[in-house]
Amino acid sequence: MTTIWATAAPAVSASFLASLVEMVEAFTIVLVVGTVQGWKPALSGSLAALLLLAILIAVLGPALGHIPLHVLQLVIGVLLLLFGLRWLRKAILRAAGLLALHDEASAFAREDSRLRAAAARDERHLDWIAGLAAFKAVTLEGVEVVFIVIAVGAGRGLVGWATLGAFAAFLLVLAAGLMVRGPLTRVPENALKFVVGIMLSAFGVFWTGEGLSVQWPGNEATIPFLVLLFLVTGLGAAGLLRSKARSAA
Amino acid sequence: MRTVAAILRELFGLFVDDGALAILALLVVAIAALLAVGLHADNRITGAVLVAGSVASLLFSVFKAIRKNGS
Repeated sequence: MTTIWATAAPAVSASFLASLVEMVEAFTIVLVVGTVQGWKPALSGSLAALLLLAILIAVLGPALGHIPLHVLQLVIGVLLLLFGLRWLRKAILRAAGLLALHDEASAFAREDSRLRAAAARDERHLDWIAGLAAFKAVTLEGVEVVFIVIAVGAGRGLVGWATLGAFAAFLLVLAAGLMVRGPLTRVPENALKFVVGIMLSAFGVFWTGEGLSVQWPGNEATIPFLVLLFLVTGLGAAGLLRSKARSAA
Repeated sequence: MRTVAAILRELFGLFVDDGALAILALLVVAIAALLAVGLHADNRITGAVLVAGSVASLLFSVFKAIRKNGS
């Protein structure tokens, strides 16, 4: 059990944290739709998106089994590396104050005024517009969750564990949303993105190497080392940038 | 149609934000692949190139953003 958990823990935690960020963003939009136009379009748009995602998983899942493992590891590794480095770069620039922090309250206000403007223009199709907004948000963020789950899990047959992490994030966001009944503004989104960027970059390097037949010292034991390396790099870069910005001010 | 286009744009944006970072990371992978498959180099070298190249790509992209910002 300890061995299984030691192997699965990085996949579960990476999937949980990344899904948490995506689900908070989707929740904000669904919440706007629900409060502006009612829960019928919000829920029907969300359900339609979940159905589309389920179809995507049903089609992609079995197809993955037919791809040779090394090719799968290489492709997923490269995509994870691009995805992880992109998140980490953004998180470093945000931590250094060079990019504005993502703010759920302002995302809520933006979507709220967009929907109200649409309502003012054309009231007949408002249910449709609102449902589409919920559908789009859940699909876009959901596709990211599906990718993350497949990417962190497929390389070593841990998709089930990664799904567990994503589902736990879904339950947490849902529970928090029901309690707060407003945008989840207190979620430290940039810190989460920083951690996820680090983990996905580490996974990306690891899987790319596996795809190229690199024998990592200690196999999976290399992943914590890679995590530590990206953590030190990220914190160091953010700290250096902050002090540069302070001295320039 | 616009929704489909937005989804496709978002899918591309999942992996590419700063074009230079994506190109550099892919270049690092290409060099590592060349070492591993083309030159049959010691796989410790391939691993080291991947690790160091990825970190260097990230740092280059971050500091490029600062130069662009003028700070």
